[in-house]
Amino acid sequence: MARSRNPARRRLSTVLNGEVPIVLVLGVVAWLAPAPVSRWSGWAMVSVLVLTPIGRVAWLSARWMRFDRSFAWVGVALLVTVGAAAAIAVVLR
Amino acid sequence: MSTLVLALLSFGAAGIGALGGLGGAVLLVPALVVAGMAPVDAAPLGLLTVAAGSLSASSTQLDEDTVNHRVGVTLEVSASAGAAIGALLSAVVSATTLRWLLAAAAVGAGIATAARSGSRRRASQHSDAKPGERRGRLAGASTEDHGVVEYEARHLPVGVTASGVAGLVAGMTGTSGGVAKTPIMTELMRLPVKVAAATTVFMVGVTAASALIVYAVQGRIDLSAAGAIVVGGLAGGRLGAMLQAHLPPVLVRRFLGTVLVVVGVVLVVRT
Repeated sequence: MARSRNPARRRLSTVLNGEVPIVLVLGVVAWLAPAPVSRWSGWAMVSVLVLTPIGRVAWLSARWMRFDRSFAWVGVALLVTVGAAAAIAVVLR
Repeated sequence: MSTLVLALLSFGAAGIGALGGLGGAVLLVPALVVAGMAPVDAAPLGLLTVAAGSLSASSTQLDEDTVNHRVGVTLEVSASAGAAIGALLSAVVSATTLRWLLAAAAVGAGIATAARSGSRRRASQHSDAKPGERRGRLAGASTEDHGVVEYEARHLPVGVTASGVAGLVAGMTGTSGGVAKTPIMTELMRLPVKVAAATTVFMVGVTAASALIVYAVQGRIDLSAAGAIVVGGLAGGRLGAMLQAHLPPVLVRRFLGTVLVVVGVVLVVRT
């Protein structure tokens, strides 16, 4: 398959592609290994799956801050929304 | 329910879902509930398969230059807020309410999938523009089957509101909401199908992450089950995507739509 002409997208694609086997291995360990290894692996897997899309939004916002500020602030608003949700969940725990 | 059964269910749901161009969660979560799992326990497992499926498909969408990040980020502000609220609400609403909501999501997804023709509205403005998104606008150009078309998102307030509702349902039930997000972008906002589908893949990952943070903070994720579900989902999704090219798409969508409606009806009957 032809790769994007945009170098930033190519780098992002490489990173995301590399994370898939990592998630797979962490998932197998979380499923089959004895505790506490399975527990740590499970948390690592969930962390990768949660932080990857959020990190992608943060990366986009940081890039847009240089040349597309209005959308950079939309990205920041999204990150604030996610952070607020986490804070509310902690308070209500 | 044993983790092996969970992995097999996830494998089957992701495989069948990928055949029809859907994520596996919209089939997996109702199947888990029909098999006896409480909806509130099934929801985070469904969201994990959504996040894993989004990660797995993202590099392809980026390589094809079809995803519009500006549209995705803009719609995700309301979708993520809805997903987080949905995840918080799922802890307090009754299991019966969640089952009804899940059944409605399954039947709705089934009807939408079966009715999809595969040749939805096309952008009409052909051009020689370079494919990709445009700075400062919710616009871009995309390589469609019939050439490069330029597009600009329309009806943004409606799209933002509908995405928020889709996110709320996704957060409460653990389904991706992707089956609603793609039509929102193609039919309401008039984006080309490929752009909408690729942007949906990006969006559902963010939606799932927003809800999963709530579930994780509240200690509502079974990590061993999560491992089995993600492994089964990734393997099934990959196999389904490989088989997709060799099967008639209309027949597959009708089959998947029928399965979803049947699962939804079974959920209602059991409730």
